[in-house]
Amino acid sequence: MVVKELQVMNELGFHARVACKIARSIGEFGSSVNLVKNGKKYDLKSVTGVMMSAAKNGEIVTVEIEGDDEESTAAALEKLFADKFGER
Amino acid sequence: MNGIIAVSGMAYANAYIIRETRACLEPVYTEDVERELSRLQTASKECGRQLSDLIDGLKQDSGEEQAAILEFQYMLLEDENYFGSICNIVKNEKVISEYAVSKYSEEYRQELLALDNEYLNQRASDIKDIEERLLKNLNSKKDEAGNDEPIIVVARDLTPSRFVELSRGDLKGIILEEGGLSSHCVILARSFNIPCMVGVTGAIDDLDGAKTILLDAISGQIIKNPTSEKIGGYETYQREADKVKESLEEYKTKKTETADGKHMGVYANITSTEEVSALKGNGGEGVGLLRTEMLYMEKATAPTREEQIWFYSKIAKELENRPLIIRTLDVGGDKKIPYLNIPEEENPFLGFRAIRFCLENDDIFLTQLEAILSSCEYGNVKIMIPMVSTIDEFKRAKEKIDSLAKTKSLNVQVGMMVETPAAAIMADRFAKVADFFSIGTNDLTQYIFAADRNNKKVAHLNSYFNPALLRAVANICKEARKEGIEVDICGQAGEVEELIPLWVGMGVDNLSVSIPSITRVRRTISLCDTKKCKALVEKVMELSTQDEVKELLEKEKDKWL
Repeated sequence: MVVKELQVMNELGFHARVACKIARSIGEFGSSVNLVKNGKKYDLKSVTGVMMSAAKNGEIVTVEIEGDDEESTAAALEKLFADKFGER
Repeated sequence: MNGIIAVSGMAYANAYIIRETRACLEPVYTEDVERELSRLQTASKECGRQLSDLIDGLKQDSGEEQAAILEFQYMLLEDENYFGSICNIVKNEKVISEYAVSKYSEEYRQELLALDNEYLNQRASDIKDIEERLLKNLNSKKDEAGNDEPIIVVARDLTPSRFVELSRGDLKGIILEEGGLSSHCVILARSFNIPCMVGVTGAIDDLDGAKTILLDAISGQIIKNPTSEKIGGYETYQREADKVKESLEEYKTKKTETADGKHMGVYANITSTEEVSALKGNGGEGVGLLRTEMLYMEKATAPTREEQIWFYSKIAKELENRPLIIRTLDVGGDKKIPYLNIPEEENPFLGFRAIRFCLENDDIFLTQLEAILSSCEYGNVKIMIPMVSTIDEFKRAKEKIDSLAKTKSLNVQVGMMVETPAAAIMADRFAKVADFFSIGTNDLTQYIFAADRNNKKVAHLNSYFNPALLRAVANICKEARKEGIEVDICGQAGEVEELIPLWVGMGVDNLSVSIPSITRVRRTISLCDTKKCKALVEKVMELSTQDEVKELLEKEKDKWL
């Protein structure tokens, strides 16, 4: 399992457009991707999971990635966060 | 069948009954789980197709934010948590798809509403949308879009988008089981001039199996499979109506000019994006009043800035530089909008409403102002403040607008509704601070006579022909002219045939009327001679009662021509 600490850097945080983008981008990978917050797990491969985690601008989130392609999944996820999900 | 006439007229056409499935809240069990799962898949695919179309359209229309919301709905259809859970309910509980869709959607909605996050609270309405779309598609066979035959639609209620879909075909009439007189569908029916009756309890069952329907929204009758005798009556009516329509046809494209060549504008009052096409089709020269309440009333939470920008910009763009006067939120205790937390009041019409409410609620007001200002670049947008009664109120509102406009380096006209007696009496002072006036004759009348227009016992006091109102309007016009600002009428009195010569004589610049009245009002204006109308106004100012006014207008009917 790979654990990553990632910062949400886009202005609006996890809103509808971002949820679609994350779920769509990492949905192609085989590994499971869960955001852990307040003892709860949120599935980032699901739009509802991303939305419910309600991560805000500036927040640092912990993500657990597990599976055969966990390294490449983690890299893709890091890039998404770094690109601010293509937003401001 | 009894009901309330919402838009008068007559129609005879094929029956088109829409039976929608409402949320299914009690479990209905089934043996055939496989069939249910395949129904769900089919409905989901169809929903996906519809949403893709909508998203493409919105992207072209620069409705980016709305497109993102619909994309979220689209993703829900593929989502393990949402769609997956629905399928699991069907499998595990052996229930029909409708129940599973409603059960899980409701659960999820409650979960969203319980969160301490406004944005996620708002998403509850997306779940409602996708739930309704799924339910509709689960039953699509009973509700296929009509062909090109003329139809009379019978339904519980119609959403604006459904109305637009249907009106692209040959929609002749509408019969609704629910729907108040101020429902969105009725507003659209009025603008598109489609005869409509609402509150017709049991219409869907009573008209079941009807081939044709005669809708008589003049006497308030609905006849199933009418006899040839009844149809004859309708045809006579229709011939007359067609004649009138034809005689007005040329006024769709004519300039609005009085007989002596003075220009006057004929604008329309609208509520939604859907009405702009009807406005243009009838030759409307602009929007004299865009009501914005509907944006707030149809939702569980306040519309976001982005939603509002989309709404105002779309209308501004489609108007192609015709003036667009946007009235800021006009709500009060009489209109129930739960999230605004306006307490119920004994006298909502004299209460905490419109600008009084907005000045105390910056979050709502500033969001709306920002959205309106952002739409300015797409057209000829002006802002209008409702229910102003003191100079101070107007100045405070204008200051807020000016400081927001400054950050965008915008210069926008800010006018006001003149609808309180205080504003009418102080018109000389208001004319120095406002960029334009628009006289809201409906409210001005009820406030001048202190008579509730919804109270049958006193409503008769509210006469547009009473000199008290006419003197007030004349004074407002006089003071506006002195300061060189425009003055419009956006109330019902503006389209009353007999009164139009008076508005011409008083120097009103534009009349903002209902869309179907545009051509008729334009024709009447073209018959008016400004000088003669001025003389008529002077005579009216000497009268004491509404009967005297009516008598004079009747007697001099031919003189102002």
